[in-house]
Amino acid sequence: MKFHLPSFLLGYTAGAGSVLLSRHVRPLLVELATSAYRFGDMVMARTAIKQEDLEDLLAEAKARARRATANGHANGHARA
Amino acid sequence: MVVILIDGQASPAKVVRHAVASRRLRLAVPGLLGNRYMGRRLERTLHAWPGVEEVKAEPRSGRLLLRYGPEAPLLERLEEEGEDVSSEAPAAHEPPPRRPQAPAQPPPDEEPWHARTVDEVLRRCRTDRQGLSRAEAAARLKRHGANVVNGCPPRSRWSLLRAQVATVPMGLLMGSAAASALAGDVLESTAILAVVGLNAGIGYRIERRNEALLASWQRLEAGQAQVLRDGVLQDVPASDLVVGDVLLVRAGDVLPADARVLESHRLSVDEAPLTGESEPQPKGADPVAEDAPLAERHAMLYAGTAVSSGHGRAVIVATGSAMALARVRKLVEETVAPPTPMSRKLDRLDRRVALFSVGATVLSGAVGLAHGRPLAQVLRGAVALGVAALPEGLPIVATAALVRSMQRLHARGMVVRRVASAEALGGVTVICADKTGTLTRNEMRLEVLDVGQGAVDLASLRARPDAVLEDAPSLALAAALLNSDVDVHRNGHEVIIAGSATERALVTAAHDAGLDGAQLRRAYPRRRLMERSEGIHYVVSLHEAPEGGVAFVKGAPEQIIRLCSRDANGPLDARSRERLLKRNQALAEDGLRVLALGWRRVDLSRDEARDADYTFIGFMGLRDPLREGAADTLRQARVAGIRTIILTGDQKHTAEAVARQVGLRGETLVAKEVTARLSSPGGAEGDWLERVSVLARVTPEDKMALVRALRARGEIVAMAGDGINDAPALKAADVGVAVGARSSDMARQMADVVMAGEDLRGIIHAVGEGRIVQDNLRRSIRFLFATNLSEMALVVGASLLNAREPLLPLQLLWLNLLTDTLPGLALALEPGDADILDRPPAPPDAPLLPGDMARQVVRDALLMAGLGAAGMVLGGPPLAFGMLTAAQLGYAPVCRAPRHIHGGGYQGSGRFTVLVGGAVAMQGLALVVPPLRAVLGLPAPTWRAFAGLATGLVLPMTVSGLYRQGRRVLRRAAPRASVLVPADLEMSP
Repeated sequence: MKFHLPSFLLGYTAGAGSVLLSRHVRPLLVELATSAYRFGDMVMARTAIKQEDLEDLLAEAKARARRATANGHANGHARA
Repeated sequence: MVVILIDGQASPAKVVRHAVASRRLRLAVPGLLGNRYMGRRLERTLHAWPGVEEVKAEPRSGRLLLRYGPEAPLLERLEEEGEDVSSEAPAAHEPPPRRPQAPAQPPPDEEPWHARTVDEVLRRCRTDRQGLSRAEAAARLKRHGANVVNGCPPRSRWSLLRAQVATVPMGLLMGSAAASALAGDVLESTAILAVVGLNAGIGYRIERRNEALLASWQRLEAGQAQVLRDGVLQDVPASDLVVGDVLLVRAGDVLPADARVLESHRLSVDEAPLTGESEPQPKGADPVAEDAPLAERHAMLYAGTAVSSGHGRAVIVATGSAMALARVRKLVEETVAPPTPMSRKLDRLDRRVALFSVGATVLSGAVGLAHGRPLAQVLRGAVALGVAALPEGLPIVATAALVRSMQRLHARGMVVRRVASAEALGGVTVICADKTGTLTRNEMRLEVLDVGQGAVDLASLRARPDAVLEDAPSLALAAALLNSDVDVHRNGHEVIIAGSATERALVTAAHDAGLDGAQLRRAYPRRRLMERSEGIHYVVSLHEAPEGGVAFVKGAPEQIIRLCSRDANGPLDARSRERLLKRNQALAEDGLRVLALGWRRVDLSRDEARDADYTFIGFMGLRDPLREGAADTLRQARVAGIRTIILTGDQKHTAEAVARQVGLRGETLVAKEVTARLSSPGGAEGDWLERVSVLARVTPEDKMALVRALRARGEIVAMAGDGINDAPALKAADVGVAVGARSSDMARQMADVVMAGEDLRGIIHAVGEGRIVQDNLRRSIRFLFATNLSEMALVVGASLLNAREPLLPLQLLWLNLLTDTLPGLALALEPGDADILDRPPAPPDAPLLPGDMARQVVRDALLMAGLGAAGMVLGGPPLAFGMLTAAQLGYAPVCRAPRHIHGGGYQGSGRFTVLVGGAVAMQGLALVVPPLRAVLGLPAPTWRAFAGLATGLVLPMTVSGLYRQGRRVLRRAAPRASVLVPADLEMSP
């Protein structure tokens, strides 16, 4: 493989830079990751809440529908 | 609300929805969010409830579903509830609640503790004078939570970085990077993004370092308090205090919670951090009027204030977020810091540039299509033109100017927390200065001692300890010392005096004059001290003396004069009393706190009346002295065209006296008057705001309201303060300046600029630095806009004439990022005019590029474009590029400040020469170095290329010089004509 000086310098600078900067960059990365996790958690929470709301709505509708049916039957029996 | 017991701990769950029809109960449980172990425990616990059929805890939503059967005894009693919107979305980032907060404590404003009697307060707090039992205190702590006020969180690294990137100039840069990427110019796009990264990195690093420096100034707060529990005195951590605890306070204590005084003994409290009141306030158990302002609630002790003298007992009535201190913090949180004037102006400028750029791009595209060029080529040319229109060098130039200014301010002991504030200071038109602790030292000093023959020179006064009762000045100082209730002890060579500010000042003056307090106390041991009481504004102390007993009296002059029957010259008649009262009045009008002194011989063995027959000794005048440079600062501010308004929690006459001392003239208003005027329709628009110079008895809310009213009138407001009570106004102002490293933590956290020292002249220096930044930015903007416009004019002109493209995209980038940026930087780093503070500030609404300068920019841009066009005609695109670049470099000296400002020569010319010379050298290299030539698409240089470079460099200076000379000649001619015309008129019959 042919030695390519610009690529070598670019790679060396990137490696040395990341070692030198890691002390300063790490806390920033931690904060960025924390924000990302918070955002993810918030999305998950909102989704779960909406899912539960839908579940409650359907359950209530079902209960009301069944109760109305049951009342209808009861009235029918009473009339009979 | 449903309370669930888990592991013996009550956890109040909020009913989100209860549907009776489906027998489903949905609860929001604090602490459940993200905690699946708690979810399982809840499921196990609730499953055991009678009638419960199913329990499903969902840690993702923090809610729990409870399905119950028809016979569930407790649940059926719950009323059906509608959807509770507020409880629907528990914020995922909220910290898990530590303890249930119910029942909520009433905010102190709702419960006027200061207006209630001691018995009523004790009854309402369900406690007595012996304090709470340990068990009750523990239960209350569990119920109400710890007594802590969350400090302002420091700016996170993310917010620091975001502040660097989310600015208009950076948006411009990123927009042009995106445009370049769309046009397929990866190299160009990468280069622009590198500039973005460099700018953000520099700003981030500086602000981060300053935040770290400020964090190191945070004070460590003492965390213990003495309370009675089970009738026994205990040391308790301040965070464990609860409502109902009986607190013992004494001189030197920093109060840990809001409390109602039960009993007091010479108790006075320094409330300056909270109210701005410079005098320590006497405290007592008697209730005050319900509508009394915070500064006049003498029955209350507030957290964050310090006991100056005496001791006492108080019952805690508010802790944690219910304290007055926490309310100020809430006010700070609700206040939104305004954008800096520069970002507002850049925003306006940006809109115009964007409009212009889009217009030129559309025009160029339409013309290209009309000439029948291929669509791809037209698009590429249009994007290149758009990139050319944006001043890419502006952000780096602005950052450099601001950073340089920050460095200069740092050298003067000022820490700038937000980079943009350095520029905002330059536009300040009004300085609102807090009085106590900012203009004055918040430290009383004896200024006048008058023992009958006018003021004694205190600097040269030497007391005679051997003849205390014979020598009048010695007698006055000894009487003040012996009559004062202070605690004096030595720490090495340092004498530490604890007590009220007034008495500390008196004792310090006595020590400074050569009296030894300890020796004097041994010679005149005190037998009794009779305190001030209702209607009696003096203190009497009885002492043993070598020739029998003596009584000293010190207090309000009117009452002391009444007690005295003679003075050093003989008996006091009506005229003498009148003379003394007038002297007292004169001293008081001078803003001094005046005390009078008297003495008499007494027989300590007999219980005789001690309220008459004293010998008048003299007057003592005390004052909170001005800080170093306070008067000078205000004078310099006037010269610089900046108004100053003093804001203080003090009484009106004290504030007026300080205003006189610093040479401030104008109307004095008290807070109530300001509130009334601001709340009246159109009140903020009247001209009263232009006349007012002093505001007395103001609260944090009043300070903030005034700052907002001034800003609404278009003023650029700087607020200088040091106390907690200044924090909301510091945040609401365009520039907040925290004065002194001893300023409160909250003030420093809210300020844009923090002064390490206490010399107020630093503020004016900072204003000067800000003006230099503004001037330099204007010059840089003139340069950058004119050069960018010249490129656009050349490109659009060629397009209109259907000529070849005169500039390649990479040549445009070379121009914008290198040969334009270096001269732009040189202009941004100019040292500034010597008379910068002798002229008024620029009008707040003045644009960055005013009308006449915009005309200059267009004229100069057309001239440079003309040179480029000449190059195009003579030698094609390469010569056009060479001549345009050279013309732009030659244009940089034209944009410098007029030479006469620097007395015929330029200061800091070296930097300018190096930067502009560097740019010229780079252009030379671009012509001769083959790889660079290849990148820029230039052929081998010819003599014509070098001749073009030389012409381009010289021509702008020559044309500008000729233009200036011509205007000077015209100006010289114009006054002569104006003088001659009236003379002719006068001579004509």
